[in-house]
Amino acid sequence: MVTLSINNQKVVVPEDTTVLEAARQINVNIPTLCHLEGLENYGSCRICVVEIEGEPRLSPSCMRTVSEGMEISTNSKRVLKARRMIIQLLLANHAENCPTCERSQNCELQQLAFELGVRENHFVNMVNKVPLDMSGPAIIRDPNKCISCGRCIRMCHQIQSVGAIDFMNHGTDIMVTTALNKGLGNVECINCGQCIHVCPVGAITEKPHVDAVWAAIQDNTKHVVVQAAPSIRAALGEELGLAPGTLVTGKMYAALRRLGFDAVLDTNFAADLTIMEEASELVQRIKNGGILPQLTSCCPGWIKFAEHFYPDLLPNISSCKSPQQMFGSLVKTYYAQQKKVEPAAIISVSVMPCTAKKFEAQRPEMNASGFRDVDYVLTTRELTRMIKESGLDFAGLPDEQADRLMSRYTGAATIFGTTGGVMEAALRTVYKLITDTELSHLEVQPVRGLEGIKEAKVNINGMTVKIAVAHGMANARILLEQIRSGVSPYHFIEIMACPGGCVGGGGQPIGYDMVLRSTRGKVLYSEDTKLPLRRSHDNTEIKEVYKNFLGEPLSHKSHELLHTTYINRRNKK
Amino acid sequence: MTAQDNKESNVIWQSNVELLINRLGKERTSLLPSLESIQENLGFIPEDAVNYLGEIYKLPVTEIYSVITSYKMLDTEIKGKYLIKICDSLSCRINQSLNLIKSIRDILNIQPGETTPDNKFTLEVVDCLGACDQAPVMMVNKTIYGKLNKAKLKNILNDLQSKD
Amino acid sequence: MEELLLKNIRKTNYQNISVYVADGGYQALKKSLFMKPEDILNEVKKSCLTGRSAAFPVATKWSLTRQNSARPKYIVCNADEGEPGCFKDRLLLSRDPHRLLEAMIITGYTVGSQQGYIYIRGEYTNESQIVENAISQAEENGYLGENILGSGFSFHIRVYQGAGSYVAGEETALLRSMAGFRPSPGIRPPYPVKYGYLGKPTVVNNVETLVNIPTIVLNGGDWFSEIGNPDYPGTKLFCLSGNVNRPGVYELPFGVTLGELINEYGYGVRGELKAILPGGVASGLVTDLNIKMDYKSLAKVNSLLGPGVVIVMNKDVDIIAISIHTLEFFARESCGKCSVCREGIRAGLTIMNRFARNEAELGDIELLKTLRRLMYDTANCVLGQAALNATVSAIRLFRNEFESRVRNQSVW
Repeated sequence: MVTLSINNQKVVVPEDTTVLEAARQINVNIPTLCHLEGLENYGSCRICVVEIEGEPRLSPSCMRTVSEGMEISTNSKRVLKARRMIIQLLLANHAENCPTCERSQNCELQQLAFELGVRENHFVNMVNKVPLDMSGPAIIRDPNKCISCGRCIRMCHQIQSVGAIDFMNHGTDIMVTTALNKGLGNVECINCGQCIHVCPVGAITEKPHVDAVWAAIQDNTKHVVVQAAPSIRAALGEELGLAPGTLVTGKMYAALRRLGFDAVLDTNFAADLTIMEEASELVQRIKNGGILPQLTSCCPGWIKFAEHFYPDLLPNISSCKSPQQMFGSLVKTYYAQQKKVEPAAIISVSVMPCTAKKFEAQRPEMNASGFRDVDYVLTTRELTRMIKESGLDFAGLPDEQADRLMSRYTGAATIFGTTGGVMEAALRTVYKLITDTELSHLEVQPVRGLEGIKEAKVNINGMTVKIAVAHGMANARILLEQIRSGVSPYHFIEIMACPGGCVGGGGQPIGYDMVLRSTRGKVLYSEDTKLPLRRSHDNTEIKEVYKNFLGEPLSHKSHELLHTTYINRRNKK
Repeated sequence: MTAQDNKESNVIWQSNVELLINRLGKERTSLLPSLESIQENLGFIPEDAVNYLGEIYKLPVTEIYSVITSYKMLDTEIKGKYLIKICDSLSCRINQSLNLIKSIRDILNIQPGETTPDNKFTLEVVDCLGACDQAPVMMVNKTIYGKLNKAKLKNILNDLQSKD
Repeated sequence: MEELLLKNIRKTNYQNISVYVADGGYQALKKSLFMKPEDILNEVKKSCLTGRSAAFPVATKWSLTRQNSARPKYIVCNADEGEPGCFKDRLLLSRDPHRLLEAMIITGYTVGSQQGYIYIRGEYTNESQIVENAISQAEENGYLGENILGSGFSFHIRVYQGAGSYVAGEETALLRSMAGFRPSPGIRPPYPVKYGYLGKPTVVNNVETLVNIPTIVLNGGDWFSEIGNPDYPGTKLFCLSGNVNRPGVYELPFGVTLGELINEYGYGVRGELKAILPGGVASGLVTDLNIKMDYKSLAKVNSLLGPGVVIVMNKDVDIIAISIHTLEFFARESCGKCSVCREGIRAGLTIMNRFARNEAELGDIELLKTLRRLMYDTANCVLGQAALNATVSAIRLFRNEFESRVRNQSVW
């Protein structure tokens, strides 16, 4: 243990503690910018500098470990002055269009400028305007706002093991960009959007579909159908006046209806459908000696990752479309037929916790009905803005029901939104398919929680089915390498690109806060226990869709509408 | 470059990198020597080569480009046959390096950073070539020319022009 | 005075090992191999040899590395001579390469390392070739490689060629460059003696520092400590350039005055003297020829000795343009990582360009000084800490030239 003093207060901390951490122990928050809990320390922004007695210069507290007898001041005149000036310098090279910035309400730079008392800037703005990177289908980068903190890079490389962006050039020309400045749409970016969560400013944002959706809603010739993913209901309330951890399913339906959507349906219906198809596929692979382990396919970030980095494992991936796309192709076929609406008149909108869903929706092959499965994808954040733009008092809205036909769901569907959920949901139906009896104990505790890789063994009729779950692509890579080298012991693996799963998706309210992500996950687990039906095969609307339209799981029609193929993208965009 | 040339130069850089990695190992410590070797062979580092190194070192290509772009002597675009580096460090600046740069611009009709249409000359303005006692200086490929003035410069460029 | 460092550079064929050996080369190595490492360390300690860029005691650096229990350990010679106006290492590398090798082998033996690297500036390709040849010769003759001269001690040296980066000359950036990463200075502590190349204990010394070692081993630390200036024993290489009649590298004791260096050795200023950068672009300008060229004396006038790069400027030189020139250099050569350095240089340039256009505000002078203070206080490495030194020293010495470019003076 090391004893030191911070602002004349004695602190005793373990040896490798940083000054920043030591200060927190006595409730002193040293401001930070390039530092972020969960990412490696970097030490570049210098905002967290402190004065250490006897040293000629100030020292960055995020990188400095404590030593015996240190005397530290975190708020001396010199420190406060330095911090203000650093903020001024950063602002001087930052496109200062704050009022029109996406991150206007939650920009860390803006907040620091306010909290640290920056009320003027001695330095004139010197931004050298460069074009925005609009090349990608999901994510926009504005280098003019970038402050080179490198958080997006650490996220992309270390947590996601993608490496689509990095620092290029040196000196004042340094910038975060893609290889040869090709643009996110032309490199290995998987569109997961985790970079958006860690960007302290508005330099990375989703490609907005809000205006297109408003236009569709306002067009009387269009029938606008909306679906909302499982994890939306666990997060939408956060920026609309409700406490984190509030389940808002009913208010969500009410809000969507008031925004003017012609039909308010639910992706959860399609999650149950996905389970029917995917569980059947797994059973078939197991029974027929097919390629194992089977890998889940509902996460479009993970799919693009596989297409770039593990094209050899594409045969392992379930051919099932994701719930969003299954929903989309049914809307323009089954729904159109049942509701007697021209498919061409239908605009299919989804609300997703995800930026990669924007990419998935525009994949060329996602048009089995002859029309785009999904026309527009809104993130949770975009829906939040539409609700605010409409002046809806979300917290005061009544709980309403979704419209019929494609909205009823079971507990299995709702847990899709969190890491481990797809696996748990699938097992409930796999058990039934193999044994023709119901699994009595539904919760698979080992696949719950935030451990990077989780595994479990499930006994089904004397057969041990080995399963694993990974979230965050660096974790997934470990399981994928096992498969590649032929030592993977598993039958079935669930992969979600975002840490925490969809509750932590790139389209959710801003922040890389794993505690909050876990809270959202618990909301879904809790909804699962409260729903009358908890197994996908018990869903009455699912029974109807098979009876009236699809026939049975893995039928010809299912294959046509609900299954897909993948592309080898090695060294391609 | 014709496709045939391309193929041949590919073979050269690739076999040189293989030799180098055999000697120095596949660890990241041999990355910079590999990049330098390709630069030496081709005069720049093509995208194919970066993809190839990415596979060898198990690194995202962005990380390799990040390294490349942090060094002035590594290029991702092909340069002229004669790379003229004119020194504009303080010692040379004091000794009228700006006039020299202007002269080269006039003679070759290119700006710093540009290559002549015949791909013969590329002009770069650099910091310190380590020959400050002979200021102003320039380096053409690996040869240093010191105590330059306009006449001397003209002669050197003429000589290079007349060479094939 | 007797030359310790340049004594061999005018000799012909000295790159050839037989010439070097015939002239007494590798005798220090032979002697060392019969000594205990701690005795060599003791001699180096007695010599009071300090690093020729940051004046850190060599013996301290060596003994910290020696004491460290982590293995392996590395010896890295910094020959990344990137400082504008600096051309001394080039001479030593090309004319006396074996002495550097000999020094590194002794260093390795003393601190318990078996692997050395010479990081040579990217532009110095001919010098690298010379050093590579010297390494081969030394290996063939048993001075380098396995079981050196039958002593049981093995040491290997490899040349590592830079690729054009000024900031790679900073020791932690240099080690990162060798490891295959962007040459970005690390955050210190920990220092390379503890956490160096590939995270292992590493001695980093520059060429000029290391070539003293064989002489110290042969003649003893006490002998060395009595040469030159008692505060800083030994000699220093000064690279003299700019508006001076005879530019060149001069070997002189620490404490020589600028006047002596420029007038006696450089044969005087070409034109009328305006200012001198006594320690390269990172140092502060001075005008007083009586200033002594040593660490303390230069620090007293807010400048620094740095690598011993002396650039002389005459009255034709526009001090504003020169300040901008140094800032543009740092703007290009900063690694760009740390916000204060990157944005501080950018802001400094923006302000200085206002002076160049006669559009500055009077407050800009104070702003530059405050900015320099901030950068000194908070930038990660010496590049950022010193980037505004030349500019702010120019304000101190030539304030009227700055003020004359301020517009609307009466408004202030």
